[in-house]
Amino acid sequence: MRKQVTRFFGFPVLFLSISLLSFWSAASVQGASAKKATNFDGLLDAVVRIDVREATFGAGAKRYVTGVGSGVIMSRDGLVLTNAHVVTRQAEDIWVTLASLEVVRAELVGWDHWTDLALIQLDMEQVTGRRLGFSYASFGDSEKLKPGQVVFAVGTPHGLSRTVSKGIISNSERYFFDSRGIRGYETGFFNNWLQTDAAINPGNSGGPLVDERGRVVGINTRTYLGADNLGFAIPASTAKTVMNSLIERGEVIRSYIGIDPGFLQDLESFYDIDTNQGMLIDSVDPGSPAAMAGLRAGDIVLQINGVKLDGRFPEQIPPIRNYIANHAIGAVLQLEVKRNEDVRKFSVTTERLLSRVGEEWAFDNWGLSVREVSRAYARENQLESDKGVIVIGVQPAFPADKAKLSRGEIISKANSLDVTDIESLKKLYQESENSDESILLETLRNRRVSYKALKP
Amino acid sequence: MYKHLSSITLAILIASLSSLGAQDFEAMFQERLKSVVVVEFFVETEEDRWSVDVNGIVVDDDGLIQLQDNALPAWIPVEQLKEFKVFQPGNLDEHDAEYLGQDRVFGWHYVRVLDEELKRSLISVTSYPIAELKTGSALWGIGLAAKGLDFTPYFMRSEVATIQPMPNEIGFCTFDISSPGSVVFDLDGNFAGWGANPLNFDRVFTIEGRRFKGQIAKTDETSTFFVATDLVGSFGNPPESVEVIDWAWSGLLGLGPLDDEVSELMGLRGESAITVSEILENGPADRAGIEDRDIIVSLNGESFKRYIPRHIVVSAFERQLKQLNVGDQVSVGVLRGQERLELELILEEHPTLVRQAERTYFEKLGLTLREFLLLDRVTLNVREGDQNSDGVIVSFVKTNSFAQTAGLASGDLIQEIDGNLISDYSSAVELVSEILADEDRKDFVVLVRRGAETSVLRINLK
Repeated sequence: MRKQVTRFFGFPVLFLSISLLSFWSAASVQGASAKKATNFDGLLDAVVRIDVREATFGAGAKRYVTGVGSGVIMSRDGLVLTNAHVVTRQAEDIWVTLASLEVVRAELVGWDHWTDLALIQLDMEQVTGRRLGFSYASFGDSEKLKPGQVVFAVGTPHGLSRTVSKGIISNSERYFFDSRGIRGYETGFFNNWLQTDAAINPGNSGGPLVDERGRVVGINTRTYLGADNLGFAIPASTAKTVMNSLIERGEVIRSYIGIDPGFLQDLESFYDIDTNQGMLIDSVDPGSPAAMAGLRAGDIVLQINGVKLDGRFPEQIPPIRNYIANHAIGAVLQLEVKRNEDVRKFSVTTERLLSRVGEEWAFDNWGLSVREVSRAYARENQLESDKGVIVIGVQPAFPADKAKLSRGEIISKANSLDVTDIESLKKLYQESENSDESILLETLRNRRVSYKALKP
Repeated sequence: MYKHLSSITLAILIASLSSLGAQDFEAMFQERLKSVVVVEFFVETEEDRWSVDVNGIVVDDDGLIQLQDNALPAWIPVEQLKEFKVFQPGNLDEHDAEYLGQDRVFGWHYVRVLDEELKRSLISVTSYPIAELKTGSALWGIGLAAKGLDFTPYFMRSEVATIQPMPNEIGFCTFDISSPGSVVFDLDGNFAGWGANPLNFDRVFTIEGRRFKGQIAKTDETSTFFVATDLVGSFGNPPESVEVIDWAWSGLLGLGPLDDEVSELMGLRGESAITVSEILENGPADRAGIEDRDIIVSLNGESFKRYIPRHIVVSAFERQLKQLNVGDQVSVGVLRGQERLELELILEEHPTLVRQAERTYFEKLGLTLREFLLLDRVTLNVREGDQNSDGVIVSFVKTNSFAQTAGLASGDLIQEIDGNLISDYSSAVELVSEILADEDRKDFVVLVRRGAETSVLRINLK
């Protein structure tokens, strides 16, 4: 229930949709070298176009889609920073067009949908083998940006490679929450955004927002489609940490305790606390560490591990979320909480933050694609357990369709055995390849149980 | 006296009909018009007021009018239904009437005409012989025009195409036969049925060369009717009072039909069966030992008919239970895994319906609060014993009111008001009334649950 937010920011926030425009240019071979960009011209040599072919499982079968985005080379050894919605976990082929117009292959190093960032690695054998060259950019300080400061967006809007547009920082600390996420993956919890009026269009995604000296201050990520020049970039401060983590581990590991913060704005008098102190708990996820510890909605968290919190305004919430997330998994947080007149202490043991989107798979012969029920999905939908798989696609006239399976249904049992995850269904799928016996499925939709006969 | 006369006329009519070869419908039509009326009432909610006109039939000699189950909006509390009036076809003179409530088995609504003179000019459909119908039987019915056309009655004619149990016997005609809620007769003037809901038809529209698929249904005429032979047992059973809900209840939740293929796979050999999604904890079915995911295969030893479409088996089963009384015992046959069990179910009182719930409208807030019912608990999946398992339901939020500005929405469960846990409806109403009475108050704070999430909302008062 993020009503307060949507009321203020209730316009449709759309991703820079990935356009299908693509063109290939003649190659002009240069010498293989990587040099640090020290000025704006150098930066232009660090910006790349990214073409992606990725698998999707939405249609009851494994299919492929292609897309175009932007990226910026951030290291001598060819690491390219881009958006997680440009290069997803399901990317199978990545081609990078360097500033020299040469195309090289790349591989995904890691992605972090929570901040919408992904890191890819250029195929350096190709780069050196073909004696190609590029520049690599460095980060500027996004914390020091001021509204009015001139910035440039560089990228591939609508497939138009190396397009530079100019604007200013319109707001250096924009908060918004997007409930749709990246194809269902949660995003935007842990950072505020840089807002700019530099023209940003679909295809700019993943490209850098830079200052006049060509230093990367943000990664262009979103725009309000239909609005004029309302672009949003992930600040370099966030990008830097996430990138380091992706280099080290290929992922960003965050802690989770299961609270949804509200804003204390105008509520201080009701809770009888001083202004600029404390964070309101709006909601506690059922079954989460916070719920286990006894925390309740309406509690005010004054301190965590002795650090005072201030959650008066929406803009202050992402840093607090980040602070909690940065603790080690399994760490015990000491929360000082004000409940009515009392101040109490709670110990909350963190668990790992997981996405609501589970692993996906397609059973082609059945015309069925599924996604695992994740812990977060189960909590959100008040399911009794995180067992089972959700139907995300059914192909017409295939066995799953004939069995009347439909999107959104959860398969909980097959032949009276629990379907705990995709693996258990894969096993059944293999067995059924040499058999024509029907499989009895138990499914759930809005807590309603049905039975379906799947005839392979 | 009049009634006596009318039955004589009827006898003459029937005699004359057979001799006339059923050609002269005029007299018969005029006579049978006295069995159908239009009932008008107003629905008055917090914000709106609108009128509803529905057709009904006369079912006794004392002005009792029977309306179909969908004639009144089921979610609207009875006290919001106002000013019941009765009109005769072709006549805009309005006559006062009184709403009596709903029959528990069939769901028919009842209205009583209060005007003695009108009562005397009405003829009950029960005074006519019942028609025996076959496929192809010729029928005629009465259509009623809209209020703007003085509810003018008109003659309609069709034949029986098929008759299907759904679980009421429904007659389908080759063409429209009457207005919904109006009457249908055979050529001899025997009572054949009661105009049911118009059907939805799949249609393809071509507009400027572009094809669109859609469904289309008439609202003023129908080709289906409740077959009179099946209706006989369900005429004229108004409840003792509007408030009384003496429905028996099983505590079985989320019933669904079982597909043929699935039934085969479960070894049921084409038997019709019903799946049970959930069992209300400590409810009648729970006490009987029925478990969620049991498959119900019989009631009192009798297995279920195969209906077309299959899902009708569920409403047929529910219908059978509704015919029973609180305290009655039935034997439910279930399939649990490979095992067949006969379980004894004692029916209990039906929990309060949403439309019966107590509610209060706070004008200043633009907010109606209503009792949190057992049925809400089921819908919202709030289990007793959960942390914060009580509250009060938001049943209405006025547009641009303080309540809406604060973010409240209809269906929300308010669990705390100003930090006080809400354990029942009356304490919530009391708290809000106190807050509103305090002229110095600028705002108050509620904790609201929506789905699995909660939120703290501040409601401004100024």
